[in-house]
Amino acid sequence: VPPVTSLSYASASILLTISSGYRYGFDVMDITGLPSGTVYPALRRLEQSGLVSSKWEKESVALKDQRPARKYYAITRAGEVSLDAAVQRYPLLERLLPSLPRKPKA
Amino acid sequence: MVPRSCQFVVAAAAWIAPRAKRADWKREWLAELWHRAESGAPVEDLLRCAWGSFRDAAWLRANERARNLEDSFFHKPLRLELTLFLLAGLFCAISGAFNPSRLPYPNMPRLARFQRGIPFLGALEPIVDAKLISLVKRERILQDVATYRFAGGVPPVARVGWNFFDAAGAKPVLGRGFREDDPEDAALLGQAYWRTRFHSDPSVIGRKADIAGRAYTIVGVVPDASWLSVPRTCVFTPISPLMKFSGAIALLRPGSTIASAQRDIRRVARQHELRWMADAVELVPLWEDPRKRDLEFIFGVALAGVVFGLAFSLARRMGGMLYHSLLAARLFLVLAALGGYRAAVLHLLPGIRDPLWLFHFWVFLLLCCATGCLVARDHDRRCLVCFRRMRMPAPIGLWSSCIFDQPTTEYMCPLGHGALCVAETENAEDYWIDLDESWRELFAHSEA
Repeated sequence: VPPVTSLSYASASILLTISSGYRYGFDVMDITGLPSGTVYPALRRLEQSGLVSSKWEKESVALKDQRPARKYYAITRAGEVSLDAAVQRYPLLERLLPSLPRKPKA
Repeated sequence: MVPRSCQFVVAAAAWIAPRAKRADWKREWLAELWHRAESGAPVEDLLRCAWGSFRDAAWLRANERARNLEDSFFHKPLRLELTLFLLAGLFCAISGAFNPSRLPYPNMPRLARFQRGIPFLGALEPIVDAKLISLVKRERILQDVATYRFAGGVPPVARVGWNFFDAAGAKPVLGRGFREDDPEDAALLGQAYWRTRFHSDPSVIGRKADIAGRAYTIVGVVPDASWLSVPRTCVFTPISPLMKFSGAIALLRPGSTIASAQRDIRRVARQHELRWMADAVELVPLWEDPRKRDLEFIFGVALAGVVFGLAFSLARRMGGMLYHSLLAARLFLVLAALGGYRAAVLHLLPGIRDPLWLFHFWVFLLLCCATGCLVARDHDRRCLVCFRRMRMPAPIGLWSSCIFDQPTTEYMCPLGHGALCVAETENAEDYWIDLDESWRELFAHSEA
């Protein structure tokens, strides 16, 4: 079982948003209401701790749609364990969880 | 399409992001802004989001540096220097605790000691000229002047003028003080020494005792007077008028201040052609802890070392702000630690401040220079990103072509952050080559 990482409320809400299928930084901003200057450093920190992983979209896919490639974030196994612990720690997150609209996978 | 203003903000923030990650970082931000713009977000919203890139870039920069430092540099030289500095602080604190400033003289507000200022980093030398002292006595600028010198030995012995304790206002706790006609073998014991060696036996007065390899006639016991017992003086004997002294204390006239007395002494010295002494002599209140001056001196030396080291490092045009700041911090820690040890040793060892004072002063300065050079040398040829020592020297260039293909030695960072090219000829300069992420694979085994 991966070790549980203690998360701040902002990090936990970002992780929760990513686990709900919102995989871009700006989507996370819209859902959490946090500014970009908070969301991006938090994403980097989560990635560094191994709670989320990032992957660039294939250039060919982006070129086909005539748009720049995006970086996708996905929750890891360790991230899920930490998120479970965070949800227990922050009861408000638990209430937020069912109200979050599930986003279809890109 | 991302508005130009947002592109400009992201481009400006990109300068803060680490170079190795800059392209990737900028690409991600512009892609996100593009998608947001396409979804119909107003320019104000995009601009507000773009401003966040500064914080993101700053976080990346700080985090990378902190991680690199934590991984490598702090585990080696700087940690050692930090430990040395903290140990020096601890040593000074302990020596200070064992040597508290206790000055039980009743005349304390009017007592001062003569010092000769050395115009170098605020250092003070306790040695004063005999001519000046006799002049001050003759002109009656001060109410009383008493000379002293440390004779060293175990237990520490100090030779003091017969009027020393009278000037200080210290009354003997047993027996009597010195008289003008006392022989050289008369001795006053410090109270602590009397307690430990003679078990507070009052019958010691008038007896002969072997102290520091010499027979002395004990005439009295004086309270422990800490300023003189900074080097823990245990026994006091009279100083003969012909004997060379190393320092003097002064009792100011009632109503006179230290500043006015010092002014008068300097005026009189000038009138009697003692100009060099007139410019340098200082009266320092006896209640002022001499360690305060020592601290000023230590910080002076450490700061001078930092300024010199930084100037040298900047002149070589190597490294960024963090690189230089770390060099400055290392120099400061090492020099301050050295100074701390010196101050503590000076206060712990008896007599060292006296005849060998200047010798120790110069030895200390030489030691500081040597240590500073060692630190600067150690700081040299380290990676500008992770501060690990550069490795794998490889000669490149041609000695037969010193203009177009200058001979240099190339050193590599073990983690592949970059290469340092050290010029081998006078007409060239050292330069640094950043290696981007694509090179990291080659160095992956080093990181593991």
